[in-house]
Amino acid sequence: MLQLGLYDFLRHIKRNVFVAVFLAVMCLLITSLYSVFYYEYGKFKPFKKLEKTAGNGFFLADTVLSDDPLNGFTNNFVNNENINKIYQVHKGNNLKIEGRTCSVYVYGEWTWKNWQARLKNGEWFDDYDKEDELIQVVIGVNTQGYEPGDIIECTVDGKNCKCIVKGILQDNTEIMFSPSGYYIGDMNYESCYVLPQNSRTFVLMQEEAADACGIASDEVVSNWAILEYRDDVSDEVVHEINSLAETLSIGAGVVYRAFLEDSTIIVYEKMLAYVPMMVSAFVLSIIAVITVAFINVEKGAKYYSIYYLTGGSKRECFLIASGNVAGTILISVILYITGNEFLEWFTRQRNIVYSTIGAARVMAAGLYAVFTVFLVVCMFFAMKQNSPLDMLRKHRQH
Amino acid sequence: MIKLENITKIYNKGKKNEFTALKNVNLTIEDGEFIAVTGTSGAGKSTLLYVISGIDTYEDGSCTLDGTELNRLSDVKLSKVRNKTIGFVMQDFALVEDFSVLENVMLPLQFDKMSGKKKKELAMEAIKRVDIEELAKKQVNQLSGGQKQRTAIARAIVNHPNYILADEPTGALDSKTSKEIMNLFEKLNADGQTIIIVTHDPDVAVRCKRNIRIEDGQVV
Repeated sequence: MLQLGLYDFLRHIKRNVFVAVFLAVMCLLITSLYSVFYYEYGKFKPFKKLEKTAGNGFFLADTVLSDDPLNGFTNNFVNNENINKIYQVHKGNNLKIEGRTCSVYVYGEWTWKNWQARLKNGEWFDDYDKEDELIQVVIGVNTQGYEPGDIIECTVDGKNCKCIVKGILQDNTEIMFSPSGYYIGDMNYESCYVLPQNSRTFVLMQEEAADACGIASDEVVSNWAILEYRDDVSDEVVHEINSLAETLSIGAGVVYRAFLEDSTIIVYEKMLAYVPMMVSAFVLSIIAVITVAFINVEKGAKYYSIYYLTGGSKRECFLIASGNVAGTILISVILYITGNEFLEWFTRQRNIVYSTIGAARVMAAGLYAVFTVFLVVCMFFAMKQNSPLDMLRKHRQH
Repeated sequence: MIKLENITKIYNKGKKNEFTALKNVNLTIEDGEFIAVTGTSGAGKSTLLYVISGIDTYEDGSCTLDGTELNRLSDVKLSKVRNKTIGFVMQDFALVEDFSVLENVMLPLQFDKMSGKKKKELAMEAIKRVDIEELAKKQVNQLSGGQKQRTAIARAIVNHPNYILADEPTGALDSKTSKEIMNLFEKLNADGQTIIIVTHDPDVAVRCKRNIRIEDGQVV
């Protein structure tokens, strides 16, 4: 019976591969969409938490290209009685690693504890311990090919400090909305463009570690910050502060809207570019799979009636048919895994957002389980509707 | 030996379109017989074949095949009986079009536990008996009607069954090819095979040694 099952499968190999390819494409589309959505949405998650506790806190990017880099917008709000706290992320330019000038992002405690970039390898920050001899760093743009565990020599104004590489970021184009690169095109909030900064290494560092290393706060440009409002602050005051903050910033449009409005909407808007293409491909795939599954039903039922006629039991005939489904699903899973690995590699080369997170893989497994059940159920009902006796009667031509 | 005692087969029992296909059929078929079952369309000829082979059940009576009562067997056991004891030949050949002649003839053997080599040997032996050895590797959809029917007959005899049941085996063939197929059946019967042919063709019926006529589900 196994040999017959294999014959049956190989004789319909074109049909089986066709269905396998379309199933794999469908699963790739769904998991890609989910992964990209989750990745985009995941950027906003830490700020959801803040929104709940702080009422109207929001997040802005600072004037990266300001003539006066010391006049960060945070300076405008430090003494504002309506602001509980300012969570800052700094950017400094005067760190030299092994003689080369590097960019450094200094993360305040709230920032690095609540948001973790996706790491290609290694680990994120541990709690800062001033007794540690080595300063923890995470490498963003890794032009020098550092590996976790590497010890690197840094200098700040002649002062040396040794750093240990904790991890390497997976996505080096965007870190907390502030690109490692720079804006191009018009200074239009709605159409900011991001490019990876490939020319230099940049380094993520904890604020306390940066202080210990000698990167003083007045030597950095305040890159972006989170304002936590007092709970009893009125809407008018919030609006006034928001307006002021917005005028001080470039590139705040998307993030500002995301935080004050529903961040999901922003994610959806970003996904709009992907959705029409993916939905079309998804629908076509569904149609293709169902069509192939159903137009082969009568032909399949005829063949299984022949197997029944020549001595196969109904159970054996069903198992042979199930073998077709199993083989098709197996090929499809292999195609899916291969396609997924390729997509991840391909997009990583181009610094495009794509990362199949664990949940998407579970989703793919679930989809395949659904497709398998669907195909088996279709087959079962087809065989039930076209019983061997019914099919044999059809073999009689008068 | 096949023995049918008071066999009654009813379709759609209890429904508005209830139909009695066989009524109190009594029949004994001895080993080595060459029988034609004739009758008008809808008389119950094919139903008789399906009941004898266990493909269809019956409501009343008893059908024994070499002493085994068929209604008492499970589907798995019935399929084993069908595999070993019966060879079926259908009007439209009932071949798997995507398979070769050899693969089609090997079909009944695929439900048995024997080596691939042994299966091929048995299949080739059957193919030789029906004189289509040169077509063994050809795909069935490239064959003529007569060649396809020979393939179907080879498949029916590959397991050396006790009985060959043929449902209008010449129905789709021209008269010349029909004669060739009947010659083949006669040759198989001469070798000791029990053959039961359902037919409405008098030229076929006349070549069989015994004729059973069925009218309105009853043996006349």
